[in-house]
This record gives sequence, C-alpha cells and structure tokens, in this order.
Amino acid sequence: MKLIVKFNLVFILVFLLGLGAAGYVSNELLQRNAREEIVLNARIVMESALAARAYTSTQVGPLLQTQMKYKFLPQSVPAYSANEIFDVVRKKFPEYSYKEAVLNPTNPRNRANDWEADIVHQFRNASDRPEMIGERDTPAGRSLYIARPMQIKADACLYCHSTVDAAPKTLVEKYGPANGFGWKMNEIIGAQIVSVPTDVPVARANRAFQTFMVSLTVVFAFIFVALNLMLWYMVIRPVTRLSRLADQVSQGENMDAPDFEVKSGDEIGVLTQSFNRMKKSLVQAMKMLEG
Amino acid sequence: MRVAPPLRWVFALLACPVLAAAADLPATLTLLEGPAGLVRGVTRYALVEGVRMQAGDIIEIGDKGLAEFEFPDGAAIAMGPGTRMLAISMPRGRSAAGDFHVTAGALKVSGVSKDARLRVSTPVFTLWPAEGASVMVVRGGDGSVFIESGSARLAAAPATHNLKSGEFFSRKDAQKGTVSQRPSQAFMDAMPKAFFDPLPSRMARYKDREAQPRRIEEVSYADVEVWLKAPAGIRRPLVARFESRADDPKFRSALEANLRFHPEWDPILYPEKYLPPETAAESAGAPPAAKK
Repeated sequence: MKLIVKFNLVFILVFLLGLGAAGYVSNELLQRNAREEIVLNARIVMESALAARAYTSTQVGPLLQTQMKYKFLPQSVPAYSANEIFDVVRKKFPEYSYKEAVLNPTNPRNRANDWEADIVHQFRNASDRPEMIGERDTPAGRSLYIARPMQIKADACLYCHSTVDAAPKTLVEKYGPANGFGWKMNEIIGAQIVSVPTDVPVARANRAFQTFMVSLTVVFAFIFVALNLMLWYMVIRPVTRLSRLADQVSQGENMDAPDFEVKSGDEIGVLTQSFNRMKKSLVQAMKMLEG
Repeated sequence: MRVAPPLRWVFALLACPVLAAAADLPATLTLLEGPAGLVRGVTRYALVEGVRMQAGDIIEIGDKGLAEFEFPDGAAIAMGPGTRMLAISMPRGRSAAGDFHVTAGALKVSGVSKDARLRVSTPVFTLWPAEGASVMVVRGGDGSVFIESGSARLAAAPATHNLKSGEFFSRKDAQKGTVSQRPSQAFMDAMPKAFFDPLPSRMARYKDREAQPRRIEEVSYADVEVWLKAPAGIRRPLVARFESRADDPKFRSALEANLRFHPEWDPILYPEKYLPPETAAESAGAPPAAKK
C-alpha cells in the first residue's frame, strides 16, 4: 500500500472521528443554549408583565382612584395593564403569549381554559411550588411555557373580589355581580402563564449546527488537499525519483548521471546528499575494481 | 445648633403669630387656566393667580377656563368653564369657611375637613359639604351633586338629604329631587375633565405671594345682569353695592328696562315715589330748579 494511501486513510479516519465528536458536542451545546434562550425569553416576558403589574398598582392605580368613583377604569387593574401591554408586543411577536388565567375571573377574557386550569390545580395541590416549566404542542408549533401561581396575599385584592357588596359599585356596574367574587386570603386563584415558541430558537440552533458542520468539512477538505500536495511535492516525488536512480545505480546503469539536485536542507535534502555521496563512492570503487 | 429649653419657648411664642397669620389666609386663586373675570366693588378685573378672594367677589370663569381657590387648611374650590360664583361671606379662621352662591356652572369642593364651614347655594339646591369632596353641576333649572367622598347635607325644597360618599342627587327643572347610588352619564358628560381627578395643591407657591387683579373698567349692567336678576336673597344686598352705578345713564336705562326683574331698584331709580306724602307734595310744588 502506497504511503499516500496510508496517509489519506488515517487522515480520513481522524477527520471522520473529529467531525463526529465536534458535531455531537456542538449540537448538544447549541440545543442547550437554544432551550436556555427560550426559558430566558419566557422569564423576560414574565418579568415584564410583573413590572407592568407593579407599575400599575403602585403608580397608575392611585392616580385613577378618584376617577374610579365615577366610572370603572380597567386601566387601574394590574392584570389588565399587563395584558394590554403584552397585546402590543404580540403585534410584532404573535407566537408569544401572556395570560393571567384565573378560575373565577372578573374579566371573562382571563378565564382559564382546560390546560391552564390543570396548571392552576397543580399549584393548588402543591402551594409551595414557585414555578412550573413545560412544553406543549400548539397550532403554531411547539411552545414552552412558564407558569407562576397567583395567590391572594394583600387585602387590597379582596377590596374588589371578596363580595359584591364590598366591591366598588363601578366595578359591579361594568362586569356584573356573577363573576370574580368570593376570593379568599392566601387562595391560589390562578396562574400567570407565559408561552414562547420553541421552534424559532431550535431552528436557529439547527441552522447554526449545519453551518458549523459544513464549515468544518470545508476546512478539513482544504487541509486534506493541502497536505496531499505537500506530501506529493516534498516527500513522495523526490523519494520516488531517488529510489528510481538508486535502482539504476544498484544495477550498474547510468553511473555517470549527474548528481541529484539538492533543493532543500530538510530530511529529504540530507537523504539526497547522502545518496550523492554514496553514488560517488560507488563510482570510485567501481573504477578502482576496473583499474 | 442646640437651643436652650427656655429659648425654645421664646421662639415658639414668636412663631405663633406667624403661623396664625398663615392659617388665617383667605382662599387664594392658585390655579387659573383661560380667561376669568372678577367683579370687586363696582369694578371689573381680570383674575390672575395669587389673588385672595374677598367677601362680595363675583367670579366668572370663561367658557374654556378653569380656576381653583385653595384655603390654608387644604380645602379647595374648583370652578369649571362658564361658572359664575358670588362669595357672599368669607369669614377667616383656621378652617375653610365661606358662603357662596353659584348661578351656573360646575364646582368641585374638596379637602373639606370636619371643622370647615362651607355653604354653596344654587338656584336648585343648597349644599353644606361636611367632609371630603363633592362635585356639582348647575345648568338652568337642572342641578346635580355627587359626593365623591365624605358627606354633605343638601337642601332642595321641600326635602333635605344627608348624602354619603358615592351618592348622587339630581333635580330637573321643578321636579322632585332624587338620590341614587351612581352618578348619571349626563352628569359625568357635563363635568369638566379635570374634576375627575383630585384637585392639585399649589398653595405653597402663593402662600407668601399675593397678586392683585388687573383692573379693566367699571361694571356695566350686562356684567352683573345675572346677579341683579338672581333670587331675592342674593340680589337685594347688591342694590347698595351697585347704587353708585345708577348714575351712569347706560346702567340706569338698563335698570329701568329690566325693573320688573329687580323691583328693589325702584326706590333708587325713582326716589320721589317713596317720599312721605307731605314731602312729595312739596317736591311736586317746588320749582323745577330745586328738584334734584
């Protein structure tokens, strides 16, 4: 088997092993990063919603207190403002969603649907659970959700949601007396649920993986060609010529051929010089024998 | 720096009159948007922020204006667009006090403490805000009041009502007044937008800075016509105030033309009709040159 064949077989084997190992590690890394990005996105959405809620309850609500005596303004309700702000965000990112899913809401749009109600019940069964993360299939593709329990911890909540008689008249006037009452202190009444699509970050990770693998293959191919050319010009070709001349000299032919030209100082050059010296010695020895 | 205890008492005693003077400040115009007029004495002025309200002041807010008067104790009276109000009396004291008459417009009285003595009369009802904030709108023969917070007593003949926070009184034309638990949409539509929010306090800015209104001219009949034709209890005390204006031929002719609306001006316009019989006979027999 020729040297170049052996060399290339080893090279290809190393290349395939390297490509496989790099592919596995990079794919794992990219997929993990994609998931972390999805969770981070969901957390950012959740924190934005919480910030909107806090801003509404501490700053907007007090300003509207007097107006609320005339007409109920949902803008003073933290859940409403969080939903409204997120609705604006959804115009640009329709696959994202935020919902304050409540089992017995004042505003019907906050009523929990089946899977959301399941989450609320899970929180009710494990009230110390701070967060829940999961994935589900939606018509728009697979999505990851983060849910946090909504627990009544302040008397201010009960001002509007304890009994119809205690609630602001303007609130009852707007939403009626049927829903959103009977809440109790420390009760988990719902869950804040953020859903973010997993397809986009995963697809981005897959694209990054493909690009990386193709780039790696191209680099290996370039190295393969370069190494083969170097091997051919620097080792195989001079050694082949040297071995052919050595064959001729060993059979007593072409003894007066000029010295092999020494072009480099590397190992091949040293071998050539040694061969030239050996050929000269051989020619002199032959002349002495003939004389 | 530490002050010796006896000196603290001296400082405190020295500060008392200053604090008392601040507390006794009359209502001050602390917020004005748009044009607003003031009739003080027999002169018409343009209102500016910082003017102190006086008893007898007639305040008229332009159709797009808004004004807020603040008392030193935190009470405030805001007048909406097109509101006309007469300060019948303004006793000074530590708490807001005053007797006002509003012929038309929208008024918000807020920050009323239990010690305040305020009374607002209108052609439809009379209101005594007891505490908190209340808003009233008066247009023609219609009048409504909403108690935003606190309570108020309201008299609308023949009934009297003790209104609580959240209650709404309304009376249309000469119909019987009704009390309901929610303000009507018509009332809210008629309310100035600014009245839906708490009245801002800008008293600190004008506490030590009194401004004088800008004089325009002496009042014409048209300037005070509404008040001269007001209910008898309001318009009668105004006769002595505007008597000097009867010397103005234009004012006098307008008084004569509208005498049926304010017959109390008859003795001013035609004093000879009210002389004792013998004096009247003498006056009738006297030569014209002696007649004034």
